[in-house]
Amino acid sequence: MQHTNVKSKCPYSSEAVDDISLLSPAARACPYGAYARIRAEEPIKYLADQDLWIVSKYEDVEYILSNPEKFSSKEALSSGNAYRDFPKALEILKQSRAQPRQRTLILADPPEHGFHRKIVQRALSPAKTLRAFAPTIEARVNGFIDKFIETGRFEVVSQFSIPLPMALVSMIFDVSEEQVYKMKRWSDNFFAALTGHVHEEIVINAAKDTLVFENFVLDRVAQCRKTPSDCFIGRLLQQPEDERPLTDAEIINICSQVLVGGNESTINFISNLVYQIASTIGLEERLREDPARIEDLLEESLRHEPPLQAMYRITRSEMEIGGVRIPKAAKLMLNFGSANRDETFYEDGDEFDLDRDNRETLHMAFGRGIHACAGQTIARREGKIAINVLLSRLRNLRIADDIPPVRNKLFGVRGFQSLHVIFDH
Amino acid sequence: MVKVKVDMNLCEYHGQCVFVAPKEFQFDDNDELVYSEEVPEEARARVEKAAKACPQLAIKVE
Repeated sequence: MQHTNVKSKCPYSSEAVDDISLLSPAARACPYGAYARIRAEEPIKYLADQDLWIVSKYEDVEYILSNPEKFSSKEALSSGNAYRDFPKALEILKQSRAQPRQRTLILADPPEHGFHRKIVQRALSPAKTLRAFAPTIEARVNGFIDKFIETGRFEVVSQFSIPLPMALVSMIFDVSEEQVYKMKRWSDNFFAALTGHVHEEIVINAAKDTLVFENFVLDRVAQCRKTPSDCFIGRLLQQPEDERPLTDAEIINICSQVLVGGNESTINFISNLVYQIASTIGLEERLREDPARIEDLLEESLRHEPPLQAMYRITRSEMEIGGVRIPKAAKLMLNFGSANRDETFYEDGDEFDLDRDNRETLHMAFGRGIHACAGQTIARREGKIAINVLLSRLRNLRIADDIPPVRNKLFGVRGFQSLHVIFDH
Repeated sequence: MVKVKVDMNLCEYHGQCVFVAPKEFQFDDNDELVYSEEVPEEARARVEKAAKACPQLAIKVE
């Protein structure tokens, strides 16, 4: 059998490697050189200007994820202070109908976390969701391809990666396609505000959209209370008698996480998969020869280019990790992108290698422990269906040479803003 | 022998155990999870990995 071992394509510019604060455009275009330098020089590195500790080694990231009693998740999604630094945005949020605002799931610690997680898991039930929707998803993916197949090229992000998870989100929330693209806009603004280091305007837009989103959720809650529904929100309301019902604020927070979590990272995951196939000589043929290898493609892509590069924790007390003294209430960046290439666990981690045994060392793309991604099975299935259908319809995928790929500008989501691919069919 | 127990009240059919330890965990024709409740010592590392991979933390290994 022919083996395809292609070096990962992102060039390590010296500027990126120099900028271990990860804030420069070069470091954002390709952070892996900077990660490698951090791992080699100072695996737990304090950035004074951001008051942030970067945790770069696999073992340390895994330790922190596995000990939620020592590390709080209250600001798990943001490196910056999100709304805190923007009085105008905070003023807008005061009009919220769901006060006090409530942290759930990814932003909550035990014991509240377990309570919400159980309810969401029941409502989202991957097994149920996939049984109900998988055939529809396949038909929808075929529909996306129908729209561009005659042209011999497509812009992957807008014509393929975005429509797929949005179709699933529309099924989960039982909303129209028009409505789901409104939701996508809200989600984009929420996400941009969360990642920190953004302009005030973005945070203000996110605050405004938060109010619109709350109204959407609360209207739906009211509908579902009147007429019981099997949509996600309807299921959130179906509480067993021995459990307290969720408050409106909790439902809103849960729905915003399912919305953002259900699209942002999956969009980038799918784009990364298509990019890998289109840019790696021989990979498409190997997947065609043995479609079971698509599972290995998914796992190796998740390891090599985890769409969500990092999550955050806060220390609950002063402690020592990996020989480094860290004060109480310190913000830690758990860098999955770096852990997934840690040389202690991965030989030639910078290489994408279809034959790598990702069963041997489990990558961190979906986190680990009590906060592990609740939608990971759904995301994997979306990726699998997307690639299966794509390979069954299109041949000889390659990156268009007239319009180069554009990477995401935000740190934290590894993927593409646009990605033009040409093909034969 | 190593004892393996899956809490089926927690299991949500994510299938991570099937991916990590396909010899010990499988889905049957009805998509139900079937697994070996006792596995030889050689398989310990693999089932422990499956327990670690489980997003529901539903697998206990003794």
